[in-house]
Amino acid sequence: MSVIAKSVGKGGVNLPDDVKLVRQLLGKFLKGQGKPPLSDSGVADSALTSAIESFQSKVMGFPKPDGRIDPGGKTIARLLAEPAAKPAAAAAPAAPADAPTEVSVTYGAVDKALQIVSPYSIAVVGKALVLAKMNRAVITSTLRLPADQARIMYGNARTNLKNQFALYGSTGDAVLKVFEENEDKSEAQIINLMRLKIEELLGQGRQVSRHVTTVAGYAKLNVFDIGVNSTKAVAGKTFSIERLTGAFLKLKKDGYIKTFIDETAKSNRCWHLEIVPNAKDL
Amino acid sequence: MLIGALVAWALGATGIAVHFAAAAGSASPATLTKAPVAPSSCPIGIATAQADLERLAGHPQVLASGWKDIDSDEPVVRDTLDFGDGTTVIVEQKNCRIANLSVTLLSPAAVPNASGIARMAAALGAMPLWKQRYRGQDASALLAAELASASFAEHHKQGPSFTYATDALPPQSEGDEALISFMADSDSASPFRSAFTLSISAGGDGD
Repeated sequence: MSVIAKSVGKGGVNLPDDVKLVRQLLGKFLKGQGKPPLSDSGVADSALTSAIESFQSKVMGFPKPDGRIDPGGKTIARLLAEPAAKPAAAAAPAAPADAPTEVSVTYGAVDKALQIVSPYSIAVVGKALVLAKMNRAVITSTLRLPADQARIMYGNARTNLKNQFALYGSTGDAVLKVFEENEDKSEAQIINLMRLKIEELLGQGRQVSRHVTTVAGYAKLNVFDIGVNSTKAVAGKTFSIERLTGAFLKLKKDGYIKTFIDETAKSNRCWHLEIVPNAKDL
Repeated sequence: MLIGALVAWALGATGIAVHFAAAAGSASPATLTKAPVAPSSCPIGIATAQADLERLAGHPQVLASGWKDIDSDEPVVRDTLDFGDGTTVIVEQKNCRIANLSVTLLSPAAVPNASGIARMAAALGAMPLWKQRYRGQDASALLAAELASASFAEHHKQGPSFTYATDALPPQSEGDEALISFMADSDSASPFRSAFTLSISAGGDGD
């Protein structure tokens, strides 16, 4: 998947989420032109087509703008590279001169049902790629539902409970206590009790793992990992741990990323990102 | 039940503690004469901070004790600071694959006062994990901010005993977490009317 899943604009597929993202991305260009931003709509109308054509003509120098943005194409890459509109302009990252002309963000071995990172967050990663002069990134982990977490913890606890207690902080330990106190019950009953405990703790804002949340919770805060090895495999010569780490740090400082944890030197080798969708104009 | 919990907490009456005997002639009520042995798989060290804690303002008497956690077999070291005026601070470290540090202020006041927070913060600042990870943080300001936070007020409205996760300490790994816990009982016969705890888990993958 590119930053947009399908084409947007004249003759495009125009998926609502893609259209909304492009409208948002065009906002800063329009503001620079002294024009009002496009509405927050998922519909591809003539105003959108006109804005795309204007961007392609004035910014990209296309002699014959086609009014359409394709996934992985030059226009979307350039839109991502544009500094944000004022007043955030001073803090916004400027695109490096040798930024890639195409960027895409794909999913690795992530269940189809869990491929729910918002277009906004994908665009933030796209921005990081542009800053890092890289062309590809791979999402290797998104959310984990309480029931899945309960199953995983049950299996691990069954194998070596002491080891699991040593691995977790107090929130995880509280879930393991449920296992310990209910060992006489059936597997299904224990897993269900562990799931209920995980959900109860989530209600207090306590997470067994930073990835564990509900689908509703995930919509408010996108938590996901970009895998080092998976990204390296597809980014080829453009790959750079240092540059992408630096880009994420910059975007965190600029307010696009709520939490960034550099786990590239750890066993799970990833960049861990937590992004509030639409927290800041792209 | 809340009173019982407070008293049990105050006394450290966990039923599993193995306290080390006081050295003859020691000024402290008891001394940790032998640290619990960490399994060789534990990369993070653990030791009492008794000497540093005894030098804090107010010169508290410090009781150091240690045992192995019954669930995880991890070594636990607890330093209990008695300030001689009814305020007690308990610092507990349980470090192995993930470092766990908790600091609790047991206060005769229903809500901890500035003096108590300062003592709690000083104890926190003396701990190896804090020095290693959060040296630049102002522990006193952080704890005071938590007491004054919307999260604290919201939970306090709902009941006298609660725990919530705080963002005050930015995570450095996916397994990191920081929790604020509070228990209060203004009708309690316990010498402590409130218990305010910051517990930190640091390191590990947290999956």
